[in-house]
Order: sequence, then structure tokens, then C-alpha cells
Amino acid sequence: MRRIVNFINAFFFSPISARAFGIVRVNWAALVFLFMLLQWKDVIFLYSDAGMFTNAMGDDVVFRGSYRFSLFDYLTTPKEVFALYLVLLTTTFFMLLGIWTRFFTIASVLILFSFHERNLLMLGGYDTVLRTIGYILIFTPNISCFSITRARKQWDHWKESFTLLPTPQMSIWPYRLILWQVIILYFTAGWDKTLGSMWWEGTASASAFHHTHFTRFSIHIMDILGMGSWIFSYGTVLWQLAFILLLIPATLWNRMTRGHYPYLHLKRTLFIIGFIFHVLIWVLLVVGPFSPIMITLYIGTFIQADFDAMRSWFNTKWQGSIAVNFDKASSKQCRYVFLLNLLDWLGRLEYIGVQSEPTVRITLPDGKTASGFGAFKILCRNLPFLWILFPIHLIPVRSKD
Amino acid sequence: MNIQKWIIVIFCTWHMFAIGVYCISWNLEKSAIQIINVAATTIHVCPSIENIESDSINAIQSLAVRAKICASEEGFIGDPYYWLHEELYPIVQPYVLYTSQWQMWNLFSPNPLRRVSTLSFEVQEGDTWKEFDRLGARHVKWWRRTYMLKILRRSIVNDRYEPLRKNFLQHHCKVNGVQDGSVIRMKWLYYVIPMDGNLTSPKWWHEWEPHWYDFVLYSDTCSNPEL
Repeated sequence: MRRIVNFINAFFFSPISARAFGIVRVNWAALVFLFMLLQWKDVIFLYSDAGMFTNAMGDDVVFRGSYRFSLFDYLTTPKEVFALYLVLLTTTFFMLLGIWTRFFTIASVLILFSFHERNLLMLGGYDTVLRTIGYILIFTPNISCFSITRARKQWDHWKESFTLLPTPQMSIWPYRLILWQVIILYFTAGWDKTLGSMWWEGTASASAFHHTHFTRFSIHIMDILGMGSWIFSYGTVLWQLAFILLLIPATLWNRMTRGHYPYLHLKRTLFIIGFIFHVLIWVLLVVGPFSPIMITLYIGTFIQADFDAMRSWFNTKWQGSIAVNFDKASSKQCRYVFLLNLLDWLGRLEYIGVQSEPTVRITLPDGKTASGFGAFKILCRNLPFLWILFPIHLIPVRSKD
Repeated sequence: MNIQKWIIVIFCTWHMFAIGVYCISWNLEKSAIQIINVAATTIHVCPSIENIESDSINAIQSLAVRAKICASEEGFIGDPYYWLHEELYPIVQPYVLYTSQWQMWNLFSPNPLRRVSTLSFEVQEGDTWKEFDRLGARHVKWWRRTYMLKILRRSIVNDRYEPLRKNFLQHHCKVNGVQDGSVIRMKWLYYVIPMDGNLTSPKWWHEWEPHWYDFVLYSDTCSNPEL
């Protein structure tokens, strides 16, 4: 009996890094905020009694017949609907920033549910994924990573010790719920495809590529892509069905493969294929925010070992560290280096607090030094969050000579 | 393990169970329908259903009707599908629906959508009809495209959405400033991508011409008192 209880305890309550769910929260809020913002002009039309769907039409037309709740059962006029819409934008914005994180997460998720229940006709698979992630986020024990509240605590800690707080931990059960959702999603999607004939014939992808509601590019490009339909179609079904393998307990899987292909590698292989798959869908087809939402769902399945593996992969050709010399007495330099520390996801920087350093100066592993804009350009290459600023590499650094 | 932990364990187990039963029962239903229909057509277990015609648009619904008649005739009640769908599904349904966790992962399946639809909004001018607006892949802004086309695709397939069609037509006549009292109509134009083994060939697509169908979904008088 004790062994069973210990197993249950480990299965649901082993500690994992809370980082992944912090990123999930930020992504979820950003996506809901952005895609609801795009509905600005259609809100009255889509959700109020002055639009296409009136409450009076009732269960048979607009709503599901039973077991439903929506605030729009009570808020029906255009003014009320638009007011709730503004509340949703506000709550998701605060959820994104991480101010009163738990409160605004619960509010955002419940209001989004109300919007979805008000108009079922326009919902897609991505809306379902948003609801499943949102529901789990409500209960997830620690979603405060990457929040302003935590940033303040980090800053207080940094000022005293020039180090960041340890990575926050949480129980593993939200990860289990997300992984189960992913397995169910893909396995039933793959299963459903096997019930059709076009996936067996290998023509399903070619057909989808030529449906003008979904195509993003010209018909000629889709013609060429259609030639690979057989590979796309069979590959998709096989990959989706393979998710059922994740139900095999890790210890049993590792024993079966004799350690040559560990469970973690299986999981990563499926998710890397999934990442490529969804990026391709994003590029080739118009299916709304489906791809970024799926990638957000994926992040919920990351554990510390996955973050470490990703970091090792990025650092494969990297050796040593970049020494960042800064003046401990200068509050301006301290703030700058604190920000660098927060963004140093690849762990490439080393922080050296000195006395009387006029400006932040970096020393590369090969001994070269840089400061000012030249140093910033080098740092941009090494801090993933700043990769988006890659055009600055086109700006020449003025030599002091 | 304290009481709080046990509550979390029960919640997680229940949630996983509910989601699993909800999704799998849908797939099992479809699989059962297909298996029964294959059995009916290959070994003729249900001769009576051969009289039920299957039209190309509502193929899935037709198959479902055929399968249900066949299942009741042959006494298939009691198989795993019925156990899951009739016994377990009602238990999980209230939880899954109240928490908005309902889901069915039929993305581009069982076959991808093949019918390509457009809506044309027309106003009568004398003996002719003049198009004043159109809803199709190339006629909506990129940020509205996904949800507007989804509404389009779903509202046309079922006649129970007729009240929506009326509001949809009235909305378009208003935003386009059509004269109050004008006779207006909403026409559905569509073609179907065929199920053909040559869909992977660019040559085939180059030679293929879609066959367009049109169908008047709704006619009304524009109510635009502000004009």
C-alpha cells in the first residue's frame, strides 16, 4: 500500500520547474489579447443581440442545448457586450504582464469561455486548445514566472547579492494534464483521419492545399507542394498516431529500447516533428492562430531536462563565457546587467562586479573586449530574446581610433 | 499525502478520464458507423438499409442513419461502442460541457473539406440581380478571414440556421447602404474538389475546371430605415 501511495505521490507531485507554465501563461494571454483585438469591429455583430446571433434564437440555432454557462445570457445589448469585451482585453493584458496573476488569469479564462459559449458557429480547433490550456492554467500551482511581480522580487534579490532567485518549482500534475491533452488530441485526430479515404490514398494534403479558404500562396506553388501530398498525408497520420506511445511508462519504454532510445528522446522527437509541422501549416495555410496556440500547448510539456537539452543544443559550438564587467556602485549599470541576466537563457554570461568601471564592458572567451554599442551587438547575438533585433548587425560600429 | 493532495489526485484522474471518454466515444461512434456500413455493403447484413440513399453533401449523416438502423436490426447493442457512448459518455458530459472542455479533433478529417463556398449578396434592380457584396476567401480582410469563412461554411450546411441567414443578409444590406425596402437575396455559390487519385498531379489541376453550383439561400426585403 505504501508503495502505491509513494508512486501516486511521485506521479502527481514531483517538483518541476515552473518556467514552462510561466511562458504558457504569457503566450496564452498574448494570443487571446491579440486575436480578440482583431475582432474589435465585429464584436457587436458576433456576440450581441444586435448582430447575427440573437439570444432569442436559443438552443437550436446559436447555443448548445444544455450544460452551458455564459455571461452573455445576461449581457445582451451592444453596450454591455462591448463593455465585457473591453474587460477581457484588460484582464488578458494584466495576465500577460503578471500583475495579480492568479486573479487576472481566472477572470480572463472565464470571460473567454463566455465568449466561446455565446457563438459556437465561429469556433475552430485553436479555440478548443485555448480553452483546454486556460482551464489548466486556472489550477496550476505556480504561474508567476515571467511576471512583473516576480521581476520586482528578482530586482530586490539582485541588488543585494548580484544573483537571481532560484528557479521556482511546482508539482508536476499540470504537466501531466497537458501531456494527456496532447496525446488525446493527436491520437484521436490521427484515428479520425484513418476513417477517411483520402488520407489512405495520399491525396488529402493536395486537396487541402487547393482549397481556396485555406491556401496562402498562388495555385502554382500549391501544385508543386501537392506533388508531395503522399508524404505529407501518410507522415501526418503516422506521426499523430505515434503519440499513443507516450502512454507507455518511461521505465518500461527505456527497458524495451535498452536505453538506446530513451523515453525523453521519443517525446522530443514527436514534439520537434510537431513544431516543424505547425510552422509549415502556419506558412502554407490560413488556419487562424492554430499554430502559435499549439506551440504554446507544447511548451506546457517542457520539463527542466528539456530546457537543459535545448540550451545544450544551442551551445553545441559555444565554449567559455562572456565576462560582463560592471560598476557595482552604479545603479544604471546594475539595472542594465540585471536585465542581461534575466535574458541570459543560454547561460553564456558571467557577471563581474568591480569598482569604478565607467561603462559596462564585456570580455569575450578569446580575450577581446568591447563596450557600448559594439558590446550590445555582441550580446544581441547571445541572448535569444534579442535575436529579433538582428537588423542592428547591419549598423557599423564606429571605431574609436 | 494530505487531504489536499488526494483532492488534486482525484481531480486530475477525473479530468483525464472525462476528456478521454468524451473524445474517444466520438471516434468510436464514427468507427462503428463505418464498420457497420462496410459490413452492410460487403456481406449484406442489413438489406433494408440499401434503400436509404446517400447524397454527396450529407454523406456522413446518411451513413450514420444507415448504421443506426442496421445496428438495431442486428442487435449490436452491448458492444464496446455502445457501452462507452451510452453508459460512460452521459456521466462525463455535464463536467466536460460546463467547464467548456468539449472537443472533437476532426481537423481535415475523415477527409479534408472539399466543398469551396462563396456567398453572393444581391439586390434586385428591375428584372436583374446586381451583386452588392460577396463573402469568400478573397473578399474578407486577413484578420477576419478564419472566423467569417467558418461561419459561412457552417451556416450553409443546415436549414436550422435559417434565422441566421436572415440576419446575415440584413447585416450586409445595412453595411453596404442598400436602399430601404429593396428586394435582396443571398446566393450560395460552390464547387466540390473531386475525390480523385490524380490530385497530386499539377497537370491534373491545370486541366481541371471547377463545376460551380448556385443556390438561393434566403430572400428578403432590406430593412435600412436610416437611409
